[in-house]
Amino acid sequence: MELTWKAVYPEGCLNQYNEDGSVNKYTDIDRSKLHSFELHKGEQLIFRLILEEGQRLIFRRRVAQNLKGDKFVVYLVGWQKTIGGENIQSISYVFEDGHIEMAGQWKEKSDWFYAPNLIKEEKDGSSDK
Amino acid sequence: MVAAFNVNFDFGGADNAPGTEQDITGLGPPELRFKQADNATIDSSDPMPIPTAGTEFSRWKQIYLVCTTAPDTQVDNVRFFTDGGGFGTGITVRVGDQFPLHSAAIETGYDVSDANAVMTTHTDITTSSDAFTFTTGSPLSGPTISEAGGIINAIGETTNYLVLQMEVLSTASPGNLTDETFTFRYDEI
Repeated sequence: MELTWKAVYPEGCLNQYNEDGSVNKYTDIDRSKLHSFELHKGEQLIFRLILEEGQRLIFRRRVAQNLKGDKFVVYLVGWQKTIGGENIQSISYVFEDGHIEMAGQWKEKSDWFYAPNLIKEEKDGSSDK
Repeated sequence: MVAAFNVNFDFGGADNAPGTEQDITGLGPPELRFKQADNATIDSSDPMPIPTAGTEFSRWKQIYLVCTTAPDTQVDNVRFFTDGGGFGTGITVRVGDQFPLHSAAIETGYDVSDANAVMTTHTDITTSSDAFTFTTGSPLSGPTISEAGGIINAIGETTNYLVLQMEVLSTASPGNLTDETFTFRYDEI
């Protein structure tokens, strides 16, 4: 199941792919005015994350590929927020069969729920977290 | 576009200059056969002998991911794991704990496989682990990426090498082994 993302602003949006087929990067999202983040399968809305103030969007397409080239994909989408110097988060995991699992803290010893390498746009500006 | 990767196996040639960069994704099954010859041929030649004492070593396999379709933004956080099954008594597959250097421009981590020599003979490998201890819930963090920024974001860019080798002891049983599954996992945006 291949999904595409859409960043929704109070006025307007940024699609992963423009109508002419050109691509917008995840880092092109204007987080200062980001209202919600959606995952679509074609025209169909699969998942919507509505962000509140201070919540930083986290998103990844996490791919498992064996030596034959068989792939299995899980989409991570959620938020992280710094409260009292501590990061809290809520991440949803959208699986290929359409089911969704939700988890909090990263779990390094897990199939899918471990931390990504955060890019600077995802980090709290006051620290490296 | 979503990213796409082949798995390449380098062999032959000389140190720092592999003779062949074989895309194994379309071979086999299996895609990789441990043997006592340095090639990618999936056949029954050069099988692993069972020693009467000591250890027989396969030629080591130096494999890596190579990007064939670039991600929109980047790929990183690569991990490796097996199905945890193993090949039975007296047979181990070792995976290097270090990841010799390979990138789109550099292959200095390539070390021609020595005949019947332990993996730590490789210039850039000092320790190794049992590959089957790495499973989906407890993968190996690696191979790492030496491309700019520690990410892959262009066609032709690669991970560093992951080095694998089979070891056979006198307690092993003869015969063809059942295929096992090796998997890479990565993050893409």
